[in-house]
Amino acid sequence: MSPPRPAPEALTRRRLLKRGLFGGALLALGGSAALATRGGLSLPLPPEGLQVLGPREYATLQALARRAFPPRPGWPDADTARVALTADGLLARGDPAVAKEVKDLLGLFDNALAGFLFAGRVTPFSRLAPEAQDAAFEAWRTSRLVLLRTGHQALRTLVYSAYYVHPAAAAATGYVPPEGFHDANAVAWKGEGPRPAPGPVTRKEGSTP
Amino acid sequence: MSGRIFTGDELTEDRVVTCDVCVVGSGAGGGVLGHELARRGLDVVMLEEGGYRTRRDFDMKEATAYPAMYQELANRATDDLAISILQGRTVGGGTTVNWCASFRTPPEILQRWRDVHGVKGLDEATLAPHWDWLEERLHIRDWPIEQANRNNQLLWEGLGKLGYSRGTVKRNVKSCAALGVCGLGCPTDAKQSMLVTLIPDAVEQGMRLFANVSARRLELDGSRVVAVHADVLDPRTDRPTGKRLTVKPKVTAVCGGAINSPALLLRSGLDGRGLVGKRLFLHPVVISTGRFRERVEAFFGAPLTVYSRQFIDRGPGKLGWLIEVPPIHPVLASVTMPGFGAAHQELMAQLPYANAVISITLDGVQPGDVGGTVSLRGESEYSRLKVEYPLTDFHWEGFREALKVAARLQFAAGAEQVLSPHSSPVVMRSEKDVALLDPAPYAPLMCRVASAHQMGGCAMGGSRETSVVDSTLRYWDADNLFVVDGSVFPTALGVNPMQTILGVAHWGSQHVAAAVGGRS
Ligand SMILES: Cc1cc2nc3c(=O)[nH]c(=O)nc-3n(C[C@H](O)[C@H](O)[C@H](O)COP(=O)(O)OP(=O)(O)OC[C@H]3O[C@@H](n4cnc5c(N)ncnc54)[C@H](O)[C@@H]3O)c2cc1C
Ligand code: SF4
Repeated sequence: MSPPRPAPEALTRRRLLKRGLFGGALLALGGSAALATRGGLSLPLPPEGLQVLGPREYATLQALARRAFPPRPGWPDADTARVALTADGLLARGDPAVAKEVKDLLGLFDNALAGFLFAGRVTPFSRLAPEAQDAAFEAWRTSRLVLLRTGHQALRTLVYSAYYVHPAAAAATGYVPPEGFHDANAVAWKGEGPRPAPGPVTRKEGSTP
Repeated sequence: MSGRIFTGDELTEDRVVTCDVCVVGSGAGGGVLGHELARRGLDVVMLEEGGYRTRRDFDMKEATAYPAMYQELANRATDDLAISILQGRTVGGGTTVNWCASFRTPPEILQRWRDVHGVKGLDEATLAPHWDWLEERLHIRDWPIEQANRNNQLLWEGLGKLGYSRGTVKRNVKSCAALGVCGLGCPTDAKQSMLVTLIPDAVEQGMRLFANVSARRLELDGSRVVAVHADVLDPRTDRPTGKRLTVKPKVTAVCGGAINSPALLLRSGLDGRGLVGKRLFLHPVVISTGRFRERVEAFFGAPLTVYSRQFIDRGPGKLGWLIEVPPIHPVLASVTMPGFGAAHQELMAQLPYANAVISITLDGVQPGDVGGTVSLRGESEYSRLKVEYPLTDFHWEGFREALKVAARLQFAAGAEQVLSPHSSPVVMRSEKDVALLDPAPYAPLMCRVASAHQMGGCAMGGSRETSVVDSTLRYWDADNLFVVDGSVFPTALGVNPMQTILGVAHWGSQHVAAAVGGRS
């Protein structure tokens, strides 16, 4: 057989758009306050405070979350589930370099100049009408630029993870952890004294001896 | 002599410890190795960058499990985010969070390692007694089809209807209540992971395990590792506390798993003549989601108990695959399911009716299929690692054919709808729609790909020109440095890798032990 060939290059103006070079410049654009002259949405900050996100990044993410989780009976909406705040907590636990990239990405996503370059619009994402927000996010998903598809994937993963870790959101899908098995007081043996016996098991169909 | 498990909050001062062997990583490879060395009476120090989480922490919630027990909070991925990577980071490593499927290595893979990669002395007969011992100690037993959950039964039925080969999976469990939350940590200690079996056994025999301690760099003097420099992490924030632990061992065994082991070597300036980090294999997976009229509840019940290797060998030049089903919990489902907004919510509302078929592709066994690469983004001890895995026409052809098979299986089992993993999914309502998969877009981020099996990066082989470690798992260019985990595989396996790693570590422990006495 012939060796596997590299995937066809998805980008057209390949030299100009080479990832890394152009990608770096784009992210810098996102992070640049000077270019983000058109103000985005501003939301009241959570009383707990933010650990990683700035107010504008927080508002941008929450605006995206509101589109991801429109009101639905029995389901918490984006504000009830406090998606952007949870995402802020997740970012704070991870690698600071990743948090910085996500902040840059959110800056780029809401940046009016970037919107103009990619889609010819001059309104920041967070201030667009709901349908236009959907279209803007969708445009990143289907972009010919791998970088924008990557950005779409990163933001989408962040809002979905932050929403579905909320117990009410998980329960709305039908998943409720089985009861009577978790023992929050079980002894965590560290080598001192005898090893505790395995946890008590409520046997049910499907169990092995 | 009784050993001890220490956690980051107990390490409030810089410490220097000496020992016979420093084992970096407590997963499938490290857990077995630590045990086998302690059993021989050697003084073992084990470092684990993840926390010491036990059943008291396993509350069966994804919110708790992923940030605490997975690499990069379960968000590890290739550089372009085209392949998401699930990998353990906790005492017990992947064995604490995996789905319990236990397979011996396929003989043809061991033959390939011998014939193509020059690995010596590692065949079925050699490994058999090691596996026998492990199967006994870890209670690896068949999980009969009658006890399968509906998710697995549907696969069984689909395979039967289409006349494909099918088998039940062995699992390393004891008194398993089939809760289905293996991936979130087993709350009853039924799963016979390293966390509850060989690690405590080794501690009873004197091993010292330091959790929340991340090995940053190996210090070399000529061709010998003289120290392992590690950061103590705060168990609550996972950030370095500023305290350092320095281990001065006679022998060092790197067991951080594929991706992290090559990264540690690279941070230490050990690039194996440019081979460290190369030949990374991910068993890239595509997922086909079926919706049934009946409740499937794929989040409950033993997660993975049926398999088929019908398509593992499609002949030269073609990517083959293994077929299984995964458990389906909300967070993982949400990032995997296509769509956005109300349409996505609608899919999530149907979660109890969903079944998923995973096609786990066998990479690294076709000429020219060299897999991916682990590298560092900068020179420093703290530079982030970078995973690249080019997906080529070769992979996309395999994924497309695998998705067609998966959809047919789901329709044969009674699915009323099947969705492909494309970011704009192919929606199929009957067998005849399967052809719609042909013209769908196959490109990074247009079609979701995942991995829960990382292998390679420090490949074992017959020559220092082509491999990183020799057939005793010793790094070619250092006397007292070994790699003992999934990173030494020269190819992927085509079966779930845990038992192969356990077996190779059990077998390889003799070489590590011998090196302590200078008799390597
Ligand atoms: C969700 C999931 C399901 C799976 N299901 C199955 C299954 O059903 N059957 C199966 O066979 N396999 C399964 N696997 C894969 C299997 O668990 C892994 O292949 C196996 O555990 C890998 O073993 P390892 O020793 O190579 O590395 P790991 O088990 O990953 O252990 C490496 C350990 O080293 C630690 N470490 C890394 N670097 C450092 C450092 N610098 N300092 C200190 N510590 C460090 C890591 O935190 C980790 O705990 C699954 C994996 C996942 C994530
Ligand atoms: S299925 Fe069995 S092994 Fe897995 S978590 Fe539940 S009780 Fe534990």
